Amino acid sequence: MAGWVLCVTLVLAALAGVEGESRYEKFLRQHVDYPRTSTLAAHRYCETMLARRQVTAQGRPCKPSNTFVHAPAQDLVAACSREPDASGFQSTPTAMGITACRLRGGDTRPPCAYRARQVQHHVRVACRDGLPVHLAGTYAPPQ
Amino acid sequence: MCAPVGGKCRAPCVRQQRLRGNGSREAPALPSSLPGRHREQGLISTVKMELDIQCEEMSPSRWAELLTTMKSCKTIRLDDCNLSSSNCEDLSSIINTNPSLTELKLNNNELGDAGVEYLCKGLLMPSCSLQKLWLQNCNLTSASCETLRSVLSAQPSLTELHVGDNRLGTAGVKVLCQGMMNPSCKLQKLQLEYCELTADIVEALNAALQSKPTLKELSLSNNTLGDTAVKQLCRGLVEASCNLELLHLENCGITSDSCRDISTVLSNKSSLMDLSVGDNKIGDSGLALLCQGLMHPNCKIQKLWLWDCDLTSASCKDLSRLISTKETLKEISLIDNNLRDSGMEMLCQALKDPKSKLQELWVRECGLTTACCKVVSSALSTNKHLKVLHMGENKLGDAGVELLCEGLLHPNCNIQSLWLGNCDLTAACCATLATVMTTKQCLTELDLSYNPLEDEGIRKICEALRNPSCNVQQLILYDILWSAEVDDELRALEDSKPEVKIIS
Repeated sequence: MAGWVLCVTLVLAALAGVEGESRYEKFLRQHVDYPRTSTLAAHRYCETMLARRQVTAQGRPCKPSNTFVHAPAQDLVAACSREPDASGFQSTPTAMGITACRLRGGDTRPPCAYRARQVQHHVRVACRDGLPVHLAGTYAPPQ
Repeated sequence: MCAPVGGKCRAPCVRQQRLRGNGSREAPALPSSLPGRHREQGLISTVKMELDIQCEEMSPSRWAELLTTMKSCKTIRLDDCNLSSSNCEDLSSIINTNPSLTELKLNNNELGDAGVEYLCKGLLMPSCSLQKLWLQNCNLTSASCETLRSVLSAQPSLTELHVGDNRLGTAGVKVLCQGMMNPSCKLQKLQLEYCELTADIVEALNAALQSKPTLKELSLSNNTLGDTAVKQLCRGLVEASCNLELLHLENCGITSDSCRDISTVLSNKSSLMDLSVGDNKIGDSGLALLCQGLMHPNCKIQKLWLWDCDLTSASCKDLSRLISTKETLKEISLIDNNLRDSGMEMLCQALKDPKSKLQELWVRECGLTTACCKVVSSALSTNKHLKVLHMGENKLGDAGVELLCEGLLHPNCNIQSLWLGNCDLTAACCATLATVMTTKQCLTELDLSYNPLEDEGIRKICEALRNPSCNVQQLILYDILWSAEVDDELRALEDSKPEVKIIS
């Protein structure tokens, strides 16, 4: 993924997501951060990442919650070859590091402030053409 | 027209921001020239002279370009642009030579103490008339505080200083407080979130507050102050002559123990409009004490944040009284408190009171279910003032939303912004939501994120959006799975209705 670059054009009457981005690329942009980015202020991981990944931006309301998965994209792609569950989603065979970002406060206007929770969870994805396109949720490993 | 790497560009290119992969800020290869066009990047409003750039790596040529622009800008925001102390030398001369610069925001750049040293050289010049300075998360330590102190003492034009997310520490901020004591300092807003402050800071803060009648806003969130310190701070605030308007003490280690003193501030400072004690375990007993101050006739509170305060339905009796009697109260956030249906029902009774002027209610993640929706609906059909309602992260279900829609459709209801993310909604409730969208002209913002609406549901919503009587301008659809066909449909819809933003 090093050197992977997308160009974004924002027109005044904005647009949904990034022009020319596939759903898999969007999934990676919004949900995969591997290795976990070390941010200048560790407690601002969510704010920094969501801004860099163009989820939060001026003129966009703050996203109420977002999960970042700290595993190589390949591991999530591999989940797509597993047996889907009753809802049609596939889970990763092992738990992975994730950061769950939840909006705090009471304002949807930037600057967006988040609370981060780091856990080891299985990740559930929806796949299309063998690639993850949707993060359906995460769950703790069954005890 | 721009021709970037790896993606299509819409014409014309008005603004351009570059995306980083993996959270790093590698600058992608730029087209070397654009035929006959001035290559604009970031957000430069030439009419308002505002420079606004976020998350952009600066090449030396790019930086040189920007410096020229900055010479005449009124406001400059360079957030997370990998700036360092060397850029500060240049910025310093900009500050020095640009008399119209009023606002400088450099958050999230590793400027370091050395960088601030350079900046302050410019800031200390008599020609500098900077009003607002933001240096959040710039890797500053207490070493920066001496220079910042000089700026505070020398620049009466400086009204706002935001230095949160820097390891200034108690020792550092004590030095800042000394700067504030200078009569030349006319500071109005001070933001010290996440500055590694401890209880010991309060004495110095109180002294500074005493001397600063100009101070309007103080944020000390995310510093481990504890009850003893907060009580002392409250006493200082009451004694101070400043007309404090905003006080943020989120995650300061406050318990119910401090609430009587915070209450005293509320009943003494009629100027206080905005109070946040979110992320402190004050509990129902703490809330009861706070309400004494909140209900006091002197208290003119407008915005109250009590998110994640360990409140239960037991607090809702007092909160209801507050909502139905405090006509100044416009906004209340109760996110992440286990209010439950019984608690919500009490709040709704308050909303039905004609004296309630509440405009914004946040009850996200409050343990609500379908069971409370009938009463909410009833409140929505009576209350004319409520404009913004956040009910996400509650198991409302399709049945719950159907009930809500009844209230929303009532002519009395003036809801503009409705947030129903992660509420267990499916396609089944989308027909009714569509009716609300096309009937209620007041509804301009709708969030349905993280609900399994599927293609069927999204299509119904799209149909509503296409309708000319639908006034929704922002449709928020994060984390919903839909097909490639629906994806195309959504893009086409945005193209055909440029006033609508579909955010996902």
